[in-house]
Amino acid sequence: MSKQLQAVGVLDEGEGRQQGWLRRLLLKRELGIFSAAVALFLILTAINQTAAGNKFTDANNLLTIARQISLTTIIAVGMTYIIVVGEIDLSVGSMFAVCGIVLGILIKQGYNPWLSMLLTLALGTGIGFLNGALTTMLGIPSFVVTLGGLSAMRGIALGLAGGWPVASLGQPFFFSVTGGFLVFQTDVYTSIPMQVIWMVLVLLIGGWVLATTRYGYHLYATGSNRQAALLAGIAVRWVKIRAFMFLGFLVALASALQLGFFRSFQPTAGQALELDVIAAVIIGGTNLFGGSGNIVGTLLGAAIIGMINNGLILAGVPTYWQFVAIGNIIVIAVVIDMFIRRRQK
Amino acid sequence: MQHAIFEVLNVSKRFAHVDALIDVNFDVLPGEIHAICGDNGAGKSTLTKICAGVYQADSGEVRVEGKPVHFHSPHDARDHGIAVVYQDLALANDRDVASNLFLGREPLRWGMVDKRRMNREAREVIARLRSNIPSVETPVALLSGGQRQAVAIGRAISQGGKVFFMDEPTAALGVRESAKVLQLIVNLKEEGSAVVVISHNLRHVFSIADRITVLRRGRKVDTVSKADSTPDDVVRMITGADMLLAEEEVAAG
Repeated sequence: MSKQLQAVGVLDEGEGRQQGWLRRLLLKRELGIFSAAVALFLILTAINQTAAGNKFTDANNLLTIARQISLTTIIAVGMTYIIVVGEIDLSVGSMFAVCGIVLGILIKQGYNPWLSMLLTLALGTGIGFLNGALTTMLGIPSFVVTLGGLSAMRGIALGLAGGWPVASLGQPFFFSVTGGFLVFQTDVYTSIPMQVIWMVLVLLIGGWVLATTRYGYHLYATGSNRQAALLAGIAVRWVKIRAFMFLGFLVALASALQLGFFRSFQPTAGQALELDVIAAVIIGGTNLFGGSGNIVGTLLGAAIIGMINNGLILAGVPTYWQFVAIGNIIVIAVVIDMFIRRRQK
Repeated sequence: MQHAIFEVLNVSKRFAHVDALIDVNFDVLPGEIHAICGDNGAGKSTLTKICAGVYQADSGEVRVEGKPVHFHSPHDARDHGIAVVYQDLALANDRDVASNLFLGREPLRWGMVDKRRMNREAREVIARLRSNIPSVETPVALLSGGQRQAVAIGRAISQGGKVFFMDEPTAALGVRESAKVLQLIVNLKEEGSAVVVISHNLRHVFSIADRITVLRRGRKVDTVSKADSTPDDVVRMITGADMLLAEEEVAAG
């Protein structure tokens, strides 16, 4: 027995070196993203330091950042599922507009706002189903299906709204739940935007389902090796369709929160939103080709984008440079990710 | 005389204008390693896929433990204890060893995947295979070819297979890795499982098989026991050299 073990031990050396725990920790992808976020936070803190105090680290400003990233993050949770399973959805920005406009029109028509929101969530889920069904049943790449949706649904949103924003809706209670503030009256005055609370809920549920349920496991398996998943008896198409439906649901939820915050909705809302959402997911370390990624990374990715947008404005950097900064960070994030993957091999 | 645990009787399969299998008989005894050899296009993979429920035979019968069965899908075959390890391994590279072993049938607890139980059972399977996989939480992409093959075989085992079909288990492996996989197959046999190995490599076949079935152009040439034949005999059967010889003898006759 011991002889056998020895023989195996000898073979071990040639076959795959054991890595030290420090090395393994440094190669953890989440840690890389986390350190990037921390570094960015410190840099933005430094450049916003003034004699009067720090505009960036001010508690209200940090809550503002959290609110600013909340809708992107909510949609990015669904996009993480989609990219993990090996698909893409470019139509989220336009879908966002259609859902928001429909909800606005329903409320304006005098329907109960909660019922209207429920219908809108069903609409988003249904559009997601359509995206998923076209992709999996007809075998059209999701890139093409949702590129079509990007254009078509923007047109639908503009058409439904007649080109004008939907406004003067009433319903103060509905708006305070979807877009208001949770006010704590303590010795320090703080108010938490409702959108942030919705975001935390979505992050918790979305993260839990992806990391621990059988459905989450099947998303990863399908994205990693579709053929293997099929041979293992996983209903690959249905797994994908459900991911599109979940994303559609979250897009509709985000549109309701947007409507709640502004109390009106522009048919042009959400233009180029898909780029921010996909950027958050990719910066968060999710592999664009499927099979790996997680919700913590996506939150960090969204936080990185949010901090850049906010911190550079505070520092007085013209808006165009934010685009340059974010563009660079996307590429750097993917390069670092590739480097880490190669090192792991 | 032992009863066959798995039999294929007079099976034929035709694709468009090609006869992939013609009237093939084949049986597997409990606890034996049965090799299927043949040149490309001989019908090896068609036969495997019929046994695995991927294809349905046009005619003929498949029996498990003497009882006729009809496999409409790979699922049916699996339910009858037929486990197949495919050549392309069918592993999800990004996922860890345990997740791959339980792919598609993850154990649940309180609605969540019971990762602890999965890891524990995975360690048991790996220990049973006597494989040197360092941790069941290692992503499969980081394993060597032989370790990956062990995961694929482990999955077949943990599905509770009685008859294992292995499609070219050593084709993609180096010498040392191949030796380990062959050892895995022998371990399975020693535990009482029947193993069918589809292989080109006669050296590997002769090192582990009890019986060898040779196919050529969709027909079975013969089933021989290893003890009664040499690699040269088998090569002659695969290439059809014996037939040529026989034809020449008739012609000279």
